[in-house]
Amino acid sequence: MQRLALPASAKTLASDVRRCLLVAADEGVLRTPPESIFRLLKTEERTAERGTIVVAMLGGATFDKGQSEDAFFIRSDGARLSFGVAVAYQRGAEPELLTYRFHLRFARNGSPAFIRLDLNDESRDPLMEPRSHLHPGSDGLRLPVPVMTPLEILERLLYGTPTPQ
Amino acid sequence: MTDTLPPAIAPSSVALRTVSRAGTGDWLLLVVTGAQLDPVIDQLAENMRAFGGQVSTTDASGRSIQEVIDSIAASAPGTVLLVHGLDGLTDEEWHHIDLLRSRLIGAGTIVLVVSLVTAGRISRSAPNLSSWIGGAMWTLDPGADSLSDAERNERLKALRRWSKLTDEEVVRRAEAGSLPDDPEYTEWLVLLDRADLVAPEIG
Repeated sequence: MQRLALPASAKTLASDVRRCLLVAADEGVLRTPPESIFRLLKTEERTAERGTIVVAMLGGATFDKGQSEDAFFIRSDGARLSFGVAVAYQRGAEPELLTYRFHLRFARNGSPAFIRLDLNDESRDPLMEPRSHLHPGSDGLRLPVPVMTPLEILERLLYGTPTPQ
Repeated sequence: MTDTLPPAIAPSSVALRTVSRAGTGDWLLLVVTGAQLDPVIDQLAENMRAFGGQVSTTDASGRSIQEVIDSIAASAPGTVLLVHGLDGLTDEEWHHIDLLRSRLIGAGTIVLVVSLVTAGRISRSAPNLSSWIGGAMWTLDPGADSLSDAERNERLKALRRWSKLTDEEVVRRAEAGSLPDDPEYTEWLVLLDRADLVAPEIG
């Protein structure tokens, strides 16, 4: 997989994502207030072997199963956003994007009802399932898409993915 | 200021507030309770730098009032100075600092990291300095940017419901290399503190 330009530290990665969401709230693209953005965005750091730090950034609920809006970032059009990103940081090496999941559920009963961008773990045969793929409203349908940085995806989902008419 | 704890705040939130208002003459007060101070100062500085702030720290422990005032006065406008080690100062010393406050005008953004007792002393004995701080005081919650135990357990429950697997089965399958590749399993293993099963061998 191509190496993407990721921030050099886990703290900067989290701050970039947090700032992107806060700017969206400031601009009215998100109606989630800043204090809820701080509440919803969590960072878990774990140290693996040889000093590698695995950072999981968790934004909102893991699954969107119709629970309360409080568990999601809410766009001004009512679409609900949640995500999880895992990145490995090792001293002396470029950061490595491990996996991600960005789920956007649209507010109206349109089609598709949701889209989800997944970056799977790298071990599966890519001919069987593209590692980076888009679910256009169906868990069983996967369309290959280029791998993007977390910020690129967030900006697309916040600013460039209107609710289907 | 009172002797009751001010509202709680996460390190990321205080970092953003501090850096976004970094100019001249902004004063903030952070109460830290029950935590080792050195990691807290490091965590704050790192968060502020991640938001683009120019941050320095100074430990006032064992220093004279004059030295403390000099170090604050020397901080450049547009920068952030985290000051800690102030808990040994008496009411009289805070009163003295208050009298010399004109020397502090023109400094950068100053963040006083203190105990609740010291916050009370500043309120009682340095009323002018208190007015500079105004409502910009919080109790730092160093863990607020991470999941609480309850939040972690809720996420694990949701993952178990979704996959119909147990934590033990997920770990076993990850060790055997037979875990599905969906990103949710990465989150699961991190929550179980098994980052060793998701981190690649880099380099």
